Amino acid sequence: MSFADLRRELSARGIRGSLAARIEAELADHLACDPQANLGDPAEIAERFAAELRIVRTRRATFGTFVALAACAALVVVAGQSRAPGHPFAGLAIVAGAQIAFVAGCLALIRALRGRTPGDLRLAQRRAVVALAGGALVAAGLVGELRTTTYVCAAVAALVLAAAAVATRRARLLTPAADMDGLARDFGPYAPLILGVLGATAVALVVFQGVVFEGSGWEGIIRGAIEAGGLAAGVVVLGRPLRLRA
Amino acid sequence: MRAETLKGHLDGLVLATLAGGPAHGYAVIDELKRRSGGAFELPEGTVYPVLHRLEAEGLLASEWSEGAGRRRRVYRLTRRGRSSLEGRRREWQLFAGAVEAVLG
Repeated sequence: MSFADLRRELSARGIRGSLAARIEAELADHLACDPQANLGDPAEIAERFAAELRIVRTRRATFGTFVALAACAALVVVAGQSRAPGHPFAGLAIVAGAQIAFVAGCLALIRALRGRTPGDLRLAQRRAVVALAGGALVAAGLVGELRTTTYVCAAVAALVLAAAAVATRRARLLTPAADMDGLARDFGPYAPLILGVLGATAVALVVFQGVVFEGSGWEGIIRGAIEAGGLAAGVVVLGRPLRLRA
Repeated sequence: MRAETLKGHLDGLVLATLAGGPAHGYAVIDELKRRSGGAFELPEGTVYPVLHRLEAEGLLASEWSEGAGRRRRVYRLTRRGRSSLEGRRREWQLFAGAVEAVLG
């Protein structure tokens, strides 16, 4: 077995730097213990390492995405303590970004926990990226609030999200492109019904919040209609990349 | 015995091999071979990726050590690894007992 070939095969599968050097050192030690050992073809060895590590790394990256988004949510709360009039789209970015992040993050977690094939892992990674983009939208919305606290919170949120994005990228490098199954793989044959019920619940909650907290039925209906429109737009724009629809 | 046959059990076997104390990759493979009386003669490249994954899952920890004039990676069980091994042992005893009862 040639170590140059091994290094090339590892690199082609996203295993580089210190990890690749460690694998080489371990296999070299093995050959020193038993010079007759047959470790196999470099491509085969590299694929075994990638196959073993891609599931763990994808799950870890997805959990990391969730933690980053939770931190982002906490920062929104902290920034909210010093709320000042900002850009009119700031609020919209925070509300839309938070919902995208929550839905895509949950879907990423479900697929990462249930799936093991490269297609499943690729989709979990893609959903995590969309969730992080939602988080970035929230962080951008924070910047619309013209206060030092909100700038600091936005900067911290951006750093946390970037760290999660790097972890997701590392997992993606190990995962070859493959066909991705749709929502039925996550929720079974009743996936469209479950999705519809969840969407209707979200709209009902927004209507309830408008009626109770604003004391106006019209306000509730208007907010509910905006939420329903937002959800429909979300399904149209993100439905295919997230595999919510065929 | 073919690697495919061992697929579902390899994690437990590797953890059990390390229960006796830290060891490097070659020693783990050798110990598996020795304890199984030669039955578990795995393709040598198979065990290293498993060691890496078990470490990524937090069941093993590893560090470099100097030995025989070269650097080698030595693996040891973590607390989580030890409790995972206990769980796997219990599971295996249940499974083996049930199979034994059916096969007679």
